[in-house]
Amino acid sequence: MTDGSMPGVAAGRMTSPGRLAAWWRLIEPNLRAANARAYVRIVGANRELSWLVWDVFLPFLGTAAYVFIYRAINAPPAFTGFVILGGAMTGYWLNTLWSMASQFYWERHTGNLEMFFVAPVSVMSILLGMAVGGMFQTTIRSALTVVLGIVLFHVHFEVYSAAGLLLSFIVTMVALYGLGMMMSSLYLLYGREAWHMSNLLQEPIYLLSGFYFPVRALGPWLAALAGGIPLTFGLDAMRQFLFGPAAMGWLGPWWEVAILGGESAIFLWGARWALDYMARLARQEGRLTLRWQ
Amino acid sequence: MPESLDFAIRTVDLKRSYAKVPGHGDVVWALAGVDLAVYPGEVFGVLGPNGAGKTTLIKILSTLLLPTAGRAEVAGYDVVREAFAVRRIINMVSGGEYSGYGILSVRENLWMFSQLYGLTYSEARRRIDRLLAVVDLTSEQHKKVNKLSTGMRQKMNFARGFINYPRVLFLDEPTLGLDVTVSRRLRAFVREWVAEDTTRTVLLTTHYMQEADELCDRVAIIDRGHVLVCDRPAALKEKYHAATLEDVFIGLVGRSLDSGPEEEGAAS
Repeated sequence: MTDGSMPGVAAGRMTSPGRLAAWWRLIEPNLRAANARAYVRIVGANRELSWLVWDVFLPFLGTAAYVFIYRAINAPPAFTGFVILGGAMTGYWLNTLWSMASQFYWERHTGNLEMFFVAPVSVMSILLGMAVGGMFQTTIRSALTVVLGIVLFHVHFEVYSAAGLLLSFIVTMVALYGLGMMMSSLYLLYGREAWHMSNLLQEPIYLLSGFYFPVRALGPWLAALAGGIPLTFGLDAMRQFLFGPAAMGWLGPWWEVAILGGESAIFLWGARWALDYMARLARQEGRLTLRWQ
Repeated sequence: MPESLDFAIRTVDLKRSYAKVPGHGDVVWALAGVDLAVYPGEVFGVLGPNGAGKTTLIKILSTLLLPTAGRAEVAGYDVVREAFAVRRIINMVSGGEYSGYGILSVRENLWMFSQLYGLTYSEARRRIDRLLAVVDLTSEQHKKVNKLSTGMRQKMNFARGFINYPRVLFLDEPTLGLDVTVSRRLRAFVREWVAEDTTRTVLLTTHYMQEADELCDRVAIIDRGHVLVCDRPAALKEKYHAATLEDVFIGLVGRSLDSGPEEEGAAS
């Protein structure tokens, strides 16, 4: 049984192992909570395989349309790869919008949000679990999109820098899901508005992030504005690491990776700040417990 | 650090208001100065009609809601300043709630909630087995929750509330909508669970007077955000020459429990 005392608080002058143990007592439940929340996404969602139709095959039709357009105008073969990569990354944006940003709306609707706030873990660990689970789930979707692209359209990826590609992908994921965590926190008090906001953000981001074309085509000002969305630099960097000069990149790929690193830090800090602020506001206004709005 | 370990729950002049219309000055007082003292080992009932302030009280004690004024402590921890410490030792069950994930099984849901309290796999398994038996869901444990009836889902949530063996458990109308046999079984378990360890405490809100009579060591009757009386059920009946707690309530406020106030948290 727990005695209710804060870990480490009463320990006074602790030795290093003691401090480590106190730290672990604080971290362990949060890791367990993150793991449990990720389980819902990873195991639960894969139990109903209908998602393959909605999340892979139907979106692939839209991606295929761009492939046919580029082929019809005799665009360089690399453009087919652009589109397939964009189609694969689309899933992460949809996941960020619908399964991160809007998620607390659903959690409150079902009463889970109350349970998360009553539990002795940071709600950030719940967000982390949602992000990890979402990433895992979407990576399956994205991999299937790439495989379909290779099989159906014979896309040839010529990897210029495997390390750069991997690093740019990882840092894009951290920045993107950091943004999702921040949006989720900001939407904590929202009801249906969260849903509408996600709808509002979906299509414009497809355009601004250059899902289906090099973002350089937007011009420097619009591209710079779009750079606030991690996928913009993420896609551009990954394309440059995959296709080299044919990628028609905007900034140098390593610069883009560095900017994404900065965005990751800002979004994760922002998520923490927004969560604390909104949770306090929600407790003041009694809005953690309002379900139907 | 806990200031008053003698009390499992203590509130002093606890108040909570809500804006009648957001952004305007008019408020309703859901709690209008509540003083309560609940001792470890007690099953304590808070009785009152809809809108009396029962749920608001539980939300404040469980750290989901901030009080407007006054003080509230759980096991000596202040619910505002030491919310994290309070969360480590409490849990709550609300009647009619549907928390959990439909796509997971009953057992998986209970496991998921157990992880929010840092239980090891083996400890979680042991407790889940016990609680599934208590709520008679052992044979349904691998069924997905979206295939369960409303009553079964509520039983699962009842089990969830005990998963961390909380020192202070809040039960907000826990048997709402459950049939008589199941309700009786769950009440028996609540008594057994508190008797098992006398440091455990249950605060129960209900408007089923019979439930309160059967289960509670002491009850407080509240109406319009005020505590009207607080004593043992038998003492209250004797004092007000009433056959039931419902009669005590009618004698005190001049109306039956089902009628409720005219307005939610009516003490404006």
